[in-house]
Amino acid sequence: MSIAEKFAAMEYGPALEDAKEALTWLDQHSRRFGHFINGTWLEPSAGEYFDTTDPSTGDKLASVAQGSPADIDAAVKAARAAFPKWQSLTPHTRARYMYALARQVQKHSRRLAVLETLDNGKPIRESRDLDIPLVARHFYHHAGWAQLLPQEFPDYTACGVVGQIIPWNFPLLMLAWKIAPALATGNTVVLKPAEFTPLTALAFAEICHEIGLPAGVVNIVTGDGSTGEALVKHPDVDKIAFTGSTEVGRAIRSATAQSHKRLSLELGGKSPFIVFEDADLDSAVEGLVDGIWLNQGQVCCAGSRLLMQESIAEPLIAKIRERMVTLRVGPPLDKAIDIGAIVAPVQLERIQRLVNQGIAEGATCWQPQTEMPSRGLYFPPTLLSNVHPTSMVAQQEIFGPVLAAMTFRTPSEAVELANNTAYGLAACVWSESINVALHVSAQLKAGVVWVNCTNLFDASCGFGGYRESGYGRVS
Amino acid sequence: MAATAKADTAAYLEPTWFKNAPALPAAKSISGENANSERQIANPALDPTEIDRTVKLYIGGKQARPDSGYSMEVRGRNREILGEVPLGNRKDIRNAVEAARKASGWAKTTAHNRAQILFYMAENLSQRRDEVAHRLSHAVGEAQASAEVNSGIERIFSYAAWADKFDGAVHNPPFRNIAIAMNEPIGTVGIICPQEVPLLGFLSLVLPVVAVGNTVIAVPSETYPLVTGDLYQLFDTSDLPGGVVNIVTGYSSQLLKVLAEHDDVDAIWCFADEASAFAAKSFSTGNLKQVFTNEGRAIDWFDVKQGEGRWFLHHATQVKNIWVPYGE
Amino acid sequence: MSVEDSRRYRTGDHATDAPSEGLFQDSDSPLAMLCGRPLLSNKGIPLNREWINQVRVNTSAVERRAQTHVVRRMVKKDWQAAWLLRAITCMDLTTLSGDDTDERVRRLCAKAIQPIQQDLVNRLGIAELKIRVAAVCVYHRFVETARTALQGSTIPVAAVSTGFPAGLSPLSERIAEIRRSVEDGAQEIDVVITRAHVFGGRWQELYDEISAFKQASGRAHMKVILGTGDLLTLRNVARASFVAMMAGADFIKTSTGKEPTNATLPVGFVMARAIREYAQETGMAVGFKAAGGIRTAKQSLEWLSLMKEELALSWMKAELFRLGASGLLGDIERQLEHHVTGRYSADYRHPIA
Repeated sequence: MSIAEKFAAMEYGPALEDAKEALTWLDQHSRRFGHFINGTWLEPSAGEYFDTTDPSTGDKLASVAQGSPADIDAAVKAARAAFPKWQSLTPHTRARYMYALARQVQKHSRRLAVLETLDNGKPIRESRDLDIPLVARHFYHHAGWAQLLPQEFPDYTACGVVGQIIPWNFPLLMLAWKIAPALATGNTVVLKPAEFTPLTALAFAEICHEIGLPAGVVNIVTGDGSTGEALVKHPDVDKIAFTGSTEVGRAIRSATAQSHKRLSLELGGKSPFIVFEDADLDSAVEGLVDGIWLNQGQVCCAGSRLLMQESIAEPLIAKIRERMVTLRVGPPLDKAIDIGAIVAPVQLERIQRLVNQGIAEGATCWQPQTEMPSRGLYFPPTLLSNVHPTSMVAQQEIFGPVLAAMTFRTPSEAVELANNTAYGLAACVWSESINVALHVSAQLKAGVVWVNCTNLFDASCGFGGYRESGYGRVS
Repeated sequence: MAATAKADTAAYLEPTWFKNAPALPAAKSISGENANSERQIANPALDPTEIDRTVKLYIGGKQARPDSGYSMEVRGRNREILGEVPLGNRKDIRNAVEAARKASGWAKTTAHNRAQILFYMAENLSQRRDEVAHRLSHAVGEAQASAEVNSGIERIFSYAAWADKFDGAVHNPPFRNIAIAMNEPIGTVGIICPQEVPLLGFLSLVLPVVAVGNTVIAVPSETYPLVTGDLYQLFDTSDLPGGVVNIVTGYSSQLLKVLAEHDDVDAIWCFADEASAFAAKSFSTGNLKQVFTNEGRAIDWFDVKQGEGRWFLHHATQVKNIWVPYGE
Repeated sequence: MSVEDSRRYRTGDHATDAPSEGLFQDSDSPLAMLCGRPLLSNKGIPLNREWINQVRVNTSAVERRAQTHVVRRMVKKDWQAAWLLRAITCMDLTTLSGDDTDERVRRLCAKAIQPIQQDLVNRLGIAELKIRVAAVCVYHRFVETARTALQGSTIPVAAVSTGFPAGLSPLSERIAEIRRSVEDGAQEIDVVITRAHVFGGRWQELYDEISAFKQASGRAHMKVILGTGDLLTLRNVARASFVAMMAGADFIKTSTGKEPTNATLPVGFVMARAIREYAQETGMAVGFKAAGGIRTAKQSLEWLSLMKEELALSWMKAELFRLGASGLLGDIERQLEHHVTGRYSADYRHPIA
């Protein structure tokens, strides 16, 4: 196509981020990673590896060690051995290590962002502008807590060895949310990254090595659910911190109930997105773009249940549809893509199955005529209207770019519908009246309420769910 | 713990004294088959000129007979029978949870109002200091009884003070907005009270929960559940709305299971032996309710550092972060 | 449910005696397409106060949209060259300085006809596109000079008018000024509103003023400058946008270029959204002009993609989109040369305007 033809079409064209440096890094490791235990790379004791792939192409990125109970045991032993010394360092010394981690993340921010996008399928814009900057922010913020610990927490002591299990939707960010507060308070860590997305955790392990973090303070053991189970059940772990599905969270609760292990869980959600008639509707639509269409909707706090005041339901739905047409689905390394790839085939199947079920229950499904890549795991932005509180798609977490829309008549009905769920993670309230917005916010059963905004996160603000969305004051 | 402390930091810390606290001996269960084996006349320890005191369950601000229609004996230090309390069962718990849920308007009362009611409670306990201590002394001896009442009055004062001071925070994220971190009550809380310190233990657990706006279903000390009679008189005379505190006496291990499994109970606090702590965690996985236990460790309820303060209030609340952007 | 059902106006509803013939189109054929719907040029509608009162704009949300917009969309390589050429064709090449002279205006006009040097045109392979700017924008005094200098091209002359930039001279004088410029051959008139009417919520006065300007403009294209840097709040910008469109504006334009802050992206989002809503409610298309502070090629891409995202392809053409600028062209030329040679360029390598 000539420039003249492009002049007529005014399409965006490709704007690909160069993945060379991240791929070179993988090559430098021969595309094969062991566990990071006691400051060194160790082969898995059982010699087993599994592949991690790029969901936008299906190409294999690297082989990663499958952690066995013996590997977990070695990691826990290393963490236990490192604990007394790490805990007794001066707060200032620990703060300096944390600060070094923050700086090193910033120095390699683009490589980490590209690696995250390769492994997870999320748009590079998100990993570059949201995930990685928040990772650095977390280590900075908690370097501060390490420094202030004796002043702010007199008479408090670290739990000890902490086992942490994190999900695949924000791999490095979840690692930071877990590791930063644990290290700041003097704990040592064994972390298992998600099976689908282990690479940035391994890159982080290398960063720990580079800054000279004492051996055993951070240990990374890769693997699947069985590896996580071995960690949860290990008798010498003092605390388990988990982020993931409510189903697995419940299993972890059961598995640790007959022990003194401390526990914090950050689980699923079916968060309401409430739009009142006096809202700025165009901005509310953008809020949905940041809400349900961030990270392909694979966000535990995604505003997946749209509750619209009846009087504005029609124009709002029309605006949402118009906006959905301009969402771009495509290769996640393209800098001008809104919706990247779904992390794994099993997730894509699940989304499709739940949407089909919703349609079978009477929901109206609308998807824009969006250009979709011919290969890779993609799901178009989807709007399900005519949904009722009884509908499965209004109750169950879909974890995909699927919005379920319902109406309400009064603020109190909005609250009732919003709270009509076993979850309680997050909520959005859109209204130009501060009285209405705060009145409703106060009544919502949710750990986070965003007024006229969506999916904003910061290290200074807690994040944790009410009801079955969270346990143990995660954060 | 400082007021500015954020929960995700706190989640990786525990009080140093608690970490080092010794384990409690396993509870000598009164429940089960031989509980009523040694039949004796009720209330021999009390003045025969006094009319027998009937203690009932306390549900929704009313005294209620148990669903079972049975009573259980309460014995003193020397195994003498002190009296009887209702044998509460799962239906009594169900009723108590419903009453507690109905009283959820308590969360919307002003903190100032809750503080006044708590102060008034302290006043009323103070008025009855001697008679409450006297009755309690049959179970725990005079010295402890008197200490429990005196410390109890102070503890009530402490939580009356905290009621309008356990504030949230305002965070400054790097955006043009503020984030308001509000401490909110969790909802309905089931509490298994410590056995060994019947009055002070009950007050130390129920008051922080109530002070911040929760409603409670409490199972009092299995050793001396007769304290219930004194407690509901205290609540009734202090303007505490009915249903905010509900008391069900009975075998605590059985009542713990019903409370922990109940899907309309939002949190369970269990301060007994290790087996009870494990049971509280096991039975409550259904709705993933929040669990707070002593892990079977001994707590010195008379020590202010261990028995009251932010550690308890922290577990009685959940944090809601409200992000409010600004800009004209 | 469809947009059709919720529309405030149906085609043919609008009754106005404002003159309607635009220069750029036959009034019966569609001017633009939006969501599959053909739109006619704006003939205005009676003032609708209820609509004005319902306007809601959340400033911080719009600011976030603008912040992420610039990192959400980008164009590279050949596409970027094509977009930059498009930016040139949407440019109102402007000189509005106290030291303007006839000779300065003639030089500007020469640049307008040949905005990029021939060598670059050939190497880009775009001779057939006959790239030229959208209009030349001057003070009334230079309309005649510019018209003469542009003879032989189809480039229209735009005159700033109505007591530009303050717009505070008596109404009769402001109207007379429009008439004089039209008589001198200006085919486009950029008028400024009385900002005080917006602050005071005097929508009828504002509407009447703009209607009078429209009347005086006759067949000339009227761009209504809102003075967004003066209006300050985005809600005011939105309300003024609607009143201007109701009164028959062919374009709504951000700023005079003389305000403390001029065209900002948040203001652009608010105005573009107002244009979209007006189009959906009335079936009529109003153009958008960003003016003031646009100096870099990258900014021109951001404005074009804003039009693409919030409106449609029709608003990426000179008929409905303008960039008012004096310094922008130089930066675009340098970027185009870089595109062709792979080397970064210097401004002295391109003929000045």
